[in-house]
Amino acid sequence: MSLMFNEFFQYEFVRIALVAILLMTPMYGMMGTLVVEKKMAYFSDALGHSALTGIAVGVLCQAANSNLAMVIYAVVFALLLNQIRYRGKASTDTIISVCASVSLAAGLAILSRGGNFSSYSSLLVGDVLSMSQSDLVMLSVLLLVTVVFYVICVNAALAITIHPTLARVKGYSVRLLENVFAVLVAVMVTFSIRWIGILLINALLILPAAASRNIASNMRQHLWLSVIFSMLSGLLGLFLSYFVNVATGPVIVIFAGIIYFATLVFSLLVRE
Amino acid sequence: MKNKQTPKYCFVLLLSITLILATILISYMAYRSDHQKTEAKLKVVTSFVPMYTIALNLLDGVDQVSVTNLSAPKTGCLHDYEPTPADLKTLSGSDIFIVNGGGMEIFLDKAAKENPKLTIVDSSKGVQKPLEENAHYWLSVSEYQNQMTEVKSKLKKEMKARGIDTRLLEKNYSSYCSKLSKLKKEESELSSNMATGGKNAVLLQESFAYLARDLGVTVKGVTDLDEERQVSAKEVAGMIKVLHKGEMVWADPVYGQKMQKTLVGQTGAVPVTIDPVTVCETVDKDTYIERMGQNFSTIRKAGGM
Repeated sequence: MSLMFNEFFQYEFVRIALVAILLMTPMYGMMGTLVVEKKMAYFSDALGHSALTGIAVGVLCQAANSNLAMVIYAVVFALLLNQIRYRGKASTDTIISVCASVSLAAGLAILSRGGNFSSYSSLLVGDVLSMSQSDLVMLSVLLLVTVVFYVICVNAALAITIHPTLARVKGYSVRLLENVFAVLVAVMVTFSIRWIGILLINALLILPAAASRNIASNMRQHLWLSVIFSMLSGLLGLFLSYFVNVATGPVIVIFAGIIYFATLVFSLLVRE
Repeated sequence: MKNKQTPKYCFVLLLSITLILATILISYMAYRSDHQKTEAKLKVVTSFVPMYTIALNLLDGVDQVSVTNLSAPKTGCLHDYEPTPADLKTLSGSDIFIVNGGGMEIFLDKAAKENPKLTIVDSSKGVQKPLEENAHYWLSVSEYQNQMTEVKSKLKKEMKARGIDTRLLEKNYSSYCSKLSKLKKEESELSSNMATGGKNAVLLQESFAYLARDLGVTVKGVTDLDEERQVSAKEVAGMIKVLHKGEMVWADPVYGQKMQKTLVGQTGAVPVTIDPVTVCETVDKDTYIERMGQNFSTIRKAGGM
């Protein structure tokens, strides 16, 4: 048995992936709670899809650093989406759907030039094992920013969710906070897209927080359980995917899914 | 309050422990089944199907030597192939890595850097008449044999260094050489028939250039179709212009079929599907001989010979 663990830890790419998951999953757990509370699951999904367009923009500009192009695009997209939500007459989900579809179509059109789309298909599933040490530095910074944001803004963010007018009266800057939150989610999703994949990124953000919501009785519990579930699915997903030789992202999401349904059943049984 | 929370915490703890134990158990089972296979003194890994057939033939029945093919046999040509984590794992636990060379394995430098103890056998060093910027040597039977000879001499050296008997290797080498000689005889018969027929062809894969050269087929145009490329209308028009009725369009079974159909429909040319011996569901030591033999008979039939 110990030989199995030795083998797992002997490769650098696995060690880097492990550290990445330890940095990435608490971040997702934390932000996930706010996304779930604010009922913004669809919004973050749209951001994930728009990341493809960010990559396309990077390719189009032949940007030396495609990460920068992606992040700039995601930030602009998130702010624009918020702006249209405030000004538009249609309901939020319609607006998000419209913006996400247009953005995705533009991304697909650019990336499929010359029949080359298949070289980007790896972005759909992602590859957490392809991370480098510089990616880890970036993730650490992002985790730090997330923690700072959470500590400072969690009360305000929840107040806005529960009663926006009351929050405004209490002196919270609703627009600013919503925009900062949207930008942070956008940056987080965009950075992680190469490792987790467009199709699965939202699941990682939503599932642990939703599982925790099933059984948590207050916000503090919601946060801690979400972080624990997120880290547990990440670590177990990496470990199992290595030995059974399948892509890591989907296995992580499967674990998160199992936890979600287990907590759902528990909450139903206990309530009754 | 405390009483209400306790079952919840117990549940979370129980769920976590169950998931952890289940993961470790499944991983351990996968790990055991993986490691039962590799109790060999010399572990040989090959980069793709043609190299795998060479190693399978040379090392057939040799004790204490294991042969694994790196990329799954479904991968096909290696141009855009990046090794999976499982491949990296296999490589790091191996002694010898047999490659086609000539720039075909783009991940070779990375693999060599990460595994300094791995001996890389570059079969392209045995190739005698390479075509310019074309490393698909194995589609020429004689170059394939040259590659095999190069691999044999390197394997012999490595086996001797590890005290493994090389007599069976030599025996396997001569028996595979005689099988390849038969194939070459078939090729030269076909080639002489082709010469009288004066056959021309358009190739939808640049790898076929070796086969065309050995058979004396005049190549009127080459385009390289793979999973990442779609030809422009102009390119198709160019091919239609040079093709005439009765001439051949060589395409591979996966990527070139639609284009072949278009060209044949427009010009009345003869469709010929050539197997590049890279995509195989199952691979055994006769795969290369069988597939190339099949290619010869396909060409023979297409030419009405």
